[in-house]
Amino acid sequence: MSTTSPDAFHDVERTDRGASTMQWIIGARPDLLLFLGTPCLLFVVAELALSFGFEVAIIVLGTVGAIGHHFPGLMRAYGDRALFVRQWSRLVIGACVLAIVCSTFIFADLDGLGFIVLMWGVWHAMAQVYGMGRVYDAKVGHLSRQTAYLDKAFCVSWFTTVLLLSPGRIQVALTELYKSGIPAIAPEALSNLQLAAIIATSATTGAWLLHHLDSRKTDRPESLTKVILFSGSIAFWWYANVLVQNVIIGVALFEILHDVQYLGFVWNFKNADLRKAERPARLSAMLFSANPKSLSLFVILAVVYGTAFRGAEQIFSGTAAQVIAILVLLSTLLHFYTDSFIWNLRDAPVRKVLGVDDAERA
Amino acid sequence: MRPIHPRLRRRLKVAATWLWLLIPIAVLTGSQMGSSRSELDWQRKLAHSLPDNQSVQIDLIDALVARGRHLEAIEWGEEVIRRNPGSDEGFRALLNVNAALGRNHEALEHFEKIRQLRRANADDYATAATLLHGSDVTRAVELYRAALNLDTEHFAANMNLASALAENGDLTGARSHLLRARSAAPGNASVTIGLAQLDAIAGDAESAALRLQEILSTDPANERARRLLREIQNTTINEPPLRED
Repeated sequence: MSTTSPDAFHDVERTDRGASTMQWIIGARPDLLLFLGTPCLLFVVAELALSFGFEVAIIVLGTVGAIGHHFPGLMRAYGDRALFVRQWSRLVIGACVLAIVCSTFIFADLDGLGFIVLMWGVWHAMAQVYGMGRVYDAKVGHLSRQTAYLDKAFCVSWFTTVLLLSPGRIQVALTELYKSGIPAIAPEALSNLQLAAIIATSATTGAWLLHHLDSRKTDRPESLTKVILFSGSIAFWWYANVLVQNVIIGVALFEILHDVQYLGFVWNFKNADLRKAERPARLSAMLFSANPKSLSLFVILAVVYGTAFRGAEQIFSGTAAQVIAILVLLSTLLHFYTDSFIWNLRDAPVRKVLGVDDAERA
Repeated sequence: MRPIHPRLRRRLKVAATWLWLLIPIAVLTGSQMGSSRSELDWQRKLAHSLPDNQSVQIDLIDALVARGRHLEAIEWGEEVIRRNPGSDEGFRALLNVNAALGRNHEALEHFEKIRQLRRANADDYATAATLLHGSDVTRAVELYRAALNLDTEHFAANMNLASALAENGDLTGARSHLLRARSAAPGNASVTIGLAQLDAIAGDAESAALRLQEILSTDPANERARRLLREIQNTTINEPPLRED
């Protein structure tokens, strides 16, 4: 099974074959620390924290990070002039529609948005892992559409299966559905759904593996770093949702992984963008220059954003609490929405900043 | 066939993406129109969909009890243990519901099942002991002691054991357990009243009155303390400390 056409990659700079499958987004060490080795590191930290009774620390870090990491994404969406010009209709109309949706649900005391946030959140987590995997493939010049489809199917099937097999997650999802008045689902239907998901995931994984092995025979094989990223992230998704018994701790743990990978990716992207800019904005220079001060300021701003919202949730009551709930929901949904297009590898400016092959669309 | 213009294709894709959000919103909002959304309703549905999830089942039983639907709670609890005979949580729920209904015999049967599973905790022992306190004090004392072996600070076990010991004339033992109950719940008025009763029985009316006045200084509406104080001032009290049910 041939996955790529060598002719399509004529303008890609190549070194030796071994190096070509291990290209990095930032560099070997930062990639290992922020993207690839993070699941292993977090697994060790989580096990130690759970053994020594530091569950609260995990929950606080996860809940603050869950909101805090929206800030850099929203900054990119609404602070990048060129991007805003290209996508203004989505960024403005989308935000208005989402604000109306959130306000309606909160002020009318409607249920159901929790289910949408939960499902979109899982999709968003999956999309980040998939997207970074595509960047790794693009880095080695492997831009086959077939690989992209298989990667997506692989990630979707694994994330869905774990969701269906996670007792805590399924309980939360069904609770949200039933609060909305949806009729009860028979236990047999759920079991059948779980079985179908396992069969589909097994088939997809088989196809994905064969396709990967097949690509090793070509001039432009798939990235090994992508395989490591997928394996680590999906294994951690399993660990956090199935093996960790407490659903809140499980969600917080995967949130921490998601946030570390996201913050690392965004900072690197904006740093690369800054280096390419002729007249960089002052704020960008302050936050994304390659020095510890900028990096610290970037992380602090994200933490302050998350802490401010979480703190406000605890402090206010009545109408003020409803307004805060709307803002938290809006920040979350806007983050999910804008992230679905602002990092798209199909966009030439994104590919340019990431320094990936422009010969074919990923 | 003419290919779709890239711009039109992009717009179609954006519209499709929005439909992924708007269709579920429409379905979830529409399903709330006219249908019951009570907490009990969705907990029932959840328990129906997840029959093997123990915490969901127990939450439903608790919700039924909280709404005074004890018999329904018992039916559901029996269904839980029929499906999972090794469920100590199911037996525990039935122990508590039956105890709340005053069905002591049934409650104690469920307690025995928990004991057979070797999963009885201090609360279970204390509940069973309280049920036996009126009919078999010796057995109740054994069970209170078993509860305290698992949790020396167990408030109800300490209080009720103190009451049982005082009934049997062991005032020293009763005082020791009341003091343990006090360390578990400092400032608890029932403990102070118990100590005052013991003081009164021992003939130390002055100390008893001081304890009761201390309670009334912070809680002047405490009827029990007021009544006992009145009795102590009139005569010497000789009834044992009241039980915590």
